Amino acid sequence: MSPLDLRSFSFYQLLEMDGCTRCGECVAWCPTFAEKPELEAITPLRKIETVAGMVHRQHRLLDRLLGRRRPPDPETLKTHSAGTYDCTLCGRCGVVCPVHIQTRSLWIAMRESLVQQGVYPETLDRLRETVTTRYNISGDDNANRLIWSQNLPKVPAGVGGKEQAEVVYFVGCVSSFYPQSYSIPQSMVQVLEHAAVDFLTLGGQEWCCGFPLMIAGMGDAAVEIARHNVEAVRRTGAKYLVAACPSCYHTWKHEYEPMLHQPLGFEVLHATELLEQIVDRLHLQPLEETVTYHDPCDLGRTSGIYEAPRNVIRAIPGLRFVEMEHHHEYSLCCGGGGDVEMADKDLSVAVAASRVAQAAATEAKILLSACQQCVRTLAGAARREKLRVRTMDVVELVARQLAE
Amino acid sequence: MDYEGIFWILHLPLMVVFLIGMTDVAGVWLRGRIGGGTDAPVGQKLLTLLGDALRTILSWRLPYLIKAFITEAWFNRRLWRANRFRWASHFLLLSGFLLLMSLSGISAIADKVLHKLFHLGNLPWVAMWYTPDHPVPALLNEIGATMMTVGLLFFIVRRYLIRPPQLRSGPTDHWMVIGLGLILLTGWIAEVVRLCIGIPEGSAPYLAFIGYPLSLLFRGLPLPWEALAKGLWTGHGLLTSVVIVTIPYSKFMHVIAGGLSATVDQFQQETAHSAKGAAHVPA
Repeated sequence: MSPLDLRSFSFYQLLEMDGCTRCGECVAWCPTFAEKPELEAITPLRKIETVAGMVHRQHRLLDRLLGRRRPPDPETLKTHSAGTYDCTLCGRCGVVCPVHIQTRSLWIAMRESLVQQGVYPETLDRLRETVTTRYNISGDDNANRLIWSQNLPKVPAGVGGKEQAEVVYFVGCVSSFYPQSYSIPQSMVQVLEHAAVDFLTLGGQEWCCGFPLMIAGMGDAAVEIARHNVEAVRRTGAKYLVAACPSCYHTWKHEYEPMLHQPLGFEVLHATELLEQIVDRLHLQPLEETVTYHDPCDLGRTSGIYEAPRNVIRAIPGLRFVEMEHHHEYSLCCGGGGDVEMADKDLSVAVAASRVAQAAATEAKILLSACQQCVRTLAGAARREKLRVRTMDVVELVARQLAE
Repeated sequence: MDYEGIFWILHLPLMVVFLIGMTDVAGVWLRGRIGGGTDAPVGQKLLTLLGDALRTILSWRLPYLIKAFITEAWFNRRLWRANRFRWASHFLLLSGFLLLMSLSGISAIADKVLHKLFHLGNLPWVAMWYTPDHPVPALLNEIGATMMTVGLLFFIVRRYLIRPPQLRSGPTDHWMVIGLGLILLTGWIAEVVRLCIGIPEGSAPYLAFIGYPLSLLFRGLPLPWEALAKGLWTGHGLLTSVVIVTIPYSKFMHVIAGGLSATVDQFQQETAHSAKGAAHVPA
């Protein structure tokens, strides 16, 4: 077992781990621990305690003087790995931590160190292989990225027909290749067309943003992908890139520039931010219905966007909007993030069930979100729990309410 | 040799050990990445950090830093939102500690520097800080000690009696209770014994609203109060020094590391450039 390389962590993260008091506030808010209480290693508290212990035993003078210096114990590492990869990276723990530990980035750093030490789920090797050779997460032929557009009654010129535009609509892997999510890009391009936005999609030139690799602790493998994607957008002369997927949005907005050490040269928006700006000219038809909204973790807590989707929803006349018990920065995760679905599908399902139960408690007929992964995960949970609530993306609802 | 001499002979080496421990801890932190680079030497990383800190302190952002410290590290808004009883325990312990440490520091500066070095002891606002039982420090010290004691009692009740399910208690938690408890207990006993010596003219020991009434209960006993007081205060001081030595390797470290992380994170949030809705997409 190789020693722990502290370069996986930043100065600040090592300091944060020594600031943890193990008060357990994070435990009370952790959605995966709530569903898997037998695995103490899932708790943020134990993850920090384990890694801090390894750091101390390998690198501290006191531990050397006391003869406690030793490399990580394999069984401890294995348990720690299970706990670390059973995390959806929702970031709820970071919001409630009394000493403001930035937990999400700390968990990713822990995953990087586990990858370095070779202790991580084997499925992630297949993920890395797929993303770096097929340029998407599903392993499909990347040239088929516009397959979702085939059912459109009229395919806008921006979908495969332009090489230059003001706005690039970055569709994302899930919306491109998972049929149950096709309606999201279909709706998005209809809305953009209706609002006369000059846009295009990259088609086969769109590669996976690299987010699944970054959160798996394999961020190094995403650098070439990032470079390709940025060049592909620059060639279009676009001033804006819009992503409907919060994970893609976050990666473009916050990860690409530090990764490539250069400015992008264009603005990055989430789809709801764009919709918020153009919703007044869409003249949406009224809908008498009760709706609720699920804050995607990567849009809300990670990227700080809470009001844009709500403003878009409230712009639809007649809608009655009800918040769930946990919303905004306290929103409960849908269970679909953090690569947990790959590592532990049952856990992902259990977390989703808790969230749809909160939605059902609002008596809303429509559960909205702004993330295709959240919509997919929550729709599956609603079906399994036999709940009479329809799940859809905000952009889908907007498209439905467009005036003729 | 007098008690004060014994105190300094033992206290100073202990403080050196404490500094070695802090250097050890900071040395581990400095092995982490700073600014995205992975292989910069430790000295360069330290200079980068110090440069960033100075640029912040000497800039328009200093008020944000102070505000972040006050709201997140000291008053801890997140604890307030989580649980009021827990918040009260933490606030009382921390504030009482800050008050007592400040008073000790002010007393030492007033006595050793302003009085003995610069001969300013004739100034009332200097002399008051080292005059035994002057009303102001007497009251403030009593308040500080009481706050810490009540805060520690709240801590013990919550952790060992109420025992919320989120808590996991271990040796590091028990050491915190024992260490703080012994310091407070010896401090109270030393103070009561000192008040049993007698009341100097012009002082107002009755403002020590717990220590003074307790001293009235024991004053009549035929004990060498003066020698006891000196010994107990020296013991109390050295016990505090021993606990300080353990800071880098104990849960007490959260006072420094946790305070820093809370302050810096809040500061970054408040001064970060917001890019929400920045772009306006034309038709």
